[in-house]
Amino acid sequence: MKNIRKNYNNIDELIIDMQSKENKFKKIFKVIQVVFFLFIFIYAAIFLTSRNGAYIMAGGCYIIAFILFIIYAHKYLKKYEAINYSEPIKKVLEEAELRYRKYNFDILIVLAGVLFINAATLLVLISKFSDRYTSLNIVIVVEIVFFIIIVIAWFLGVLTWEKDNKPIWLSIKKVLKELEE
Amino acid sequence: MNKKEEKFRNIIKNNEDRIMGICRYYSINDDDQKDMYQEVLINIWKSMDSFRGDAQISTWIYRVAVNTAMGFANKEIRRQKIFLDEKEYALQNFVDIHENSVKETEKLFQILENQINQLSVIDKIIMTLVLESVNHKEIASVVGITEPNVRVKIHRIKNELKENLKSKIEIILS
Repeated sequence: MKNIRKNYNNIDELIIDMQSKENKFKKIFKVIQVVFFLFIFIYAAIFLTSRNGAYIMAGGCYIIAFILFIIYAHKYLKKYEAINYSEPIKKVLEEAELRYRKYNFDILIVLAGVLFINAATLLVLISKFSDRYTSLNIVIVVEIVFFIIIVIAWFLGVLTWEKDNKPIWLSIKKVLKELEE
Repeated sequence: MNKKEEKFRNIIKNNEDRIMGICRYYSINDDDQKDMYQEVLINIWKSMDSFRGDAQISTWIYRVAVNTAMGFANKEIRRQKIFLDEKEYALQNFVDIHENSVKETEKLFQILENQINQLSVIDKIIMTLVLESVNHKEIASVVGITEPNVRVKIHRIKNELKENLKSKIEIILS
């Protein structure tokens, strides 16, 4: 029980602390929402008011990407902060097994967001530099950069999972197997 | 005092011994027990909104306590050791302690504790609930398996423990 550092002298202190933690969680999500909504507002002001069709489309892509990031942040925080300890052990373990898998469905939301950013970046750069470079050259350079970034992010993600989450995932699988025996 | 707070206080007031009972199995000293007790209270608070009343409150408490003690929803499944706290009735489940001297009984406690700690994670949990006199239906609801499955598991674990204890007693008495 090393993760509990604070000793509450009575139940009142514990309740106050719990209520403040709940409020803190709500505040964190509100801040994330405000930051992304601010981005949406700024990008809408810059791109959607343009007379250039490519810029308007890019603005739309950026806004969709930010909305997807808000959805992901919401799902992520809900998933990790609202774990229900009152479910039967088997159900808690099954849910934990899904949470600690190497790949899960939620990551597709982030990937979709990144693809929209990629599309928006392409639209802006092609529109801006079409007098100096061919569209094909711009697409190749942008896609190479995005590909490298995605591969590095994927590699770091896998390394982190192997180090932190794989042992937990394997223990959960082992206990679930015990339950079935 | 808001409704959640009032409900929380009532739950704790009525189930203090139940929570402490489970915490005693999973922590060796008073400080650890106090820490675990607090962690269970925190998780009861967190899970209160999901309590719909479709399970008995005692079952609900046991679920939170065991899931907390074993770290099932945390970042690690604790390699939790069980401490029997020299509960006579724990040993009475397996041998007739009146036939043995105090010294022998102490040895048997240690042996039983060691034997229980060699069980699988789920079997250990089931044994702590059995020793807390939780009925089979409730154990099934805490663990999330069927009642017949619980009965089979308990029967198997008890037989294994009895057999092992029997052979150890023979060694002690010889």
